[in-house]
Amino acid sequence: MNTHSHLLQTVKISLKAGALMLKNGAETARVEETIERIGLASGMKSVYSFVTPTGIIVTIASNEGQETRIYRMNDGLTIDLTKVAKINHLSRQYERGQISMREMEEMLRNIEQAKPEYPAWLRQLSAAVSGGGFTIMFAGAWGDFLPGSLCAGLSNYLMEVLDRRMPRFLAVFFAAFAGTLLAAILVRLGLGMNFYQISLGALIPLVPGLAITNSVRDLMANDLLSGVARSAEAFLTAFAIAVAVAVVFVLRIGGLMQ
Amino acid sequence: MIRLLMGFVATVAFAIIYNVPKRALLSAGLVGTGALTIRLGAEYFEFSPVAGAFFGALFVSAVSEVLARAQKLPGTVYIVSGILMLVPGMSSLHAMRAFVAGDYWQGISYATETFLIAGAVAAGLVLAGALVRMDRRKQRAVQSQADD
Repeated sequence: MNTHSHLLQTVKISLKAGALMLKNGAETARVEETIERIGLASGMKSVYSFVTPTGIIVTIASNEGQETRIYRMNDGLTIDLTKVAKINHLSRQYERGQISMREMEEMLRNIEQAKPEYPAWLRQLSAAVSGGGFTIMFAGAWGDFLPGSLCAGLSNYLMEVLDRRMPRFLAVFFAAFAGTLLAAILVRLGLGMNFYQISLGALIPLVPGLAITNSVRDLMANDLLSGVARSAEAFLTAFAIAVAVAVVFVLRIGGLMQ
Repeated sequence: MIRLLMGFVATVAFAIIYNVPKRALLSAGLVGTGALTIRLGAEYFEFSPVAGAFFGALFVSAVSEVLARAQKLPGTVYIVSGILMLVPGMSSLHAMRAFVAGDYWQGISYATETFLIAGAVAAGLVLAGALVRMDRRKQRAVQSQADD
């Protein structure tokens, strides 16, 4: 392997590791750090990376020259923090020389193609359970557990289905609308008691928890661009939910559901 | 008690949605339960809910950083599901209801509470996280200047 192809290989692998981490919900500083770590561990002279939620730019220089690559993120919905943890661990192993570059490439490919840590049905089920749990947590009655889970399951399922076909915020809107509407209908039919608690349960799987966490962590690490972009994402998602709830309230107050 | 138990169940369920590694599930659930305890405690002793959210977030962030070092996992793993226990859900729903009903004064007062709680959560996260991370940022800054 001559040195120039070693440089290219390093750029490719560090970019791939970074992109996988970013896609699965890592914060900006961690991605930049991983790229740097892989580059420097491969004996490169200097490594620069610029990571935003929508793309990564990497420039790596060795004694032979330098390479710059851009990776444009196209985000998937499934967030897999286990993969982030695995790649993080992998890059540290590489840094300590416990695995070779070829082994790391192989393992990265395995991680990329691996199924999520938990099967899809279990994630659906836990979305439903979390909705029911929230309903009880806000002092709902025990009879509201099932309606809450049902609405949460519906909104989470719709979110996953719709997100493939339309912009994220529109999908959140429709999912929140369907969940709250179902809550209103169930209460109207006498199957649930507390409308607010049940609709809260229905909405909770849609709350952008990861965007909030990452935006705070990015801002804290002085990655202002990513931090602001992610807080905009969180804010718009919350706004979509609020509008959907408002529409259902209008229906209720308008007498259709009273 | 039942509310705390439900909080634990809901936090673990969230952790599963985000595909948190299996060995972190239990501790993530406990982080969420702790945050909920603080929030409900603030409610019980009639503190402001904003203070409850701030200290809850402080707790989540500090404990998560400690756990992250102990279990060698990214801190995000614990924070993501724990922070959801502090979401100002009820006040935002009441704000929307009041706005839709045309009761703007009440709507604004609920919306203000919502934003204050959300801000307090962010502030709590920042404060604990920034303290823990100070050393690491210094190192990175020194290192990048050494390049070239």
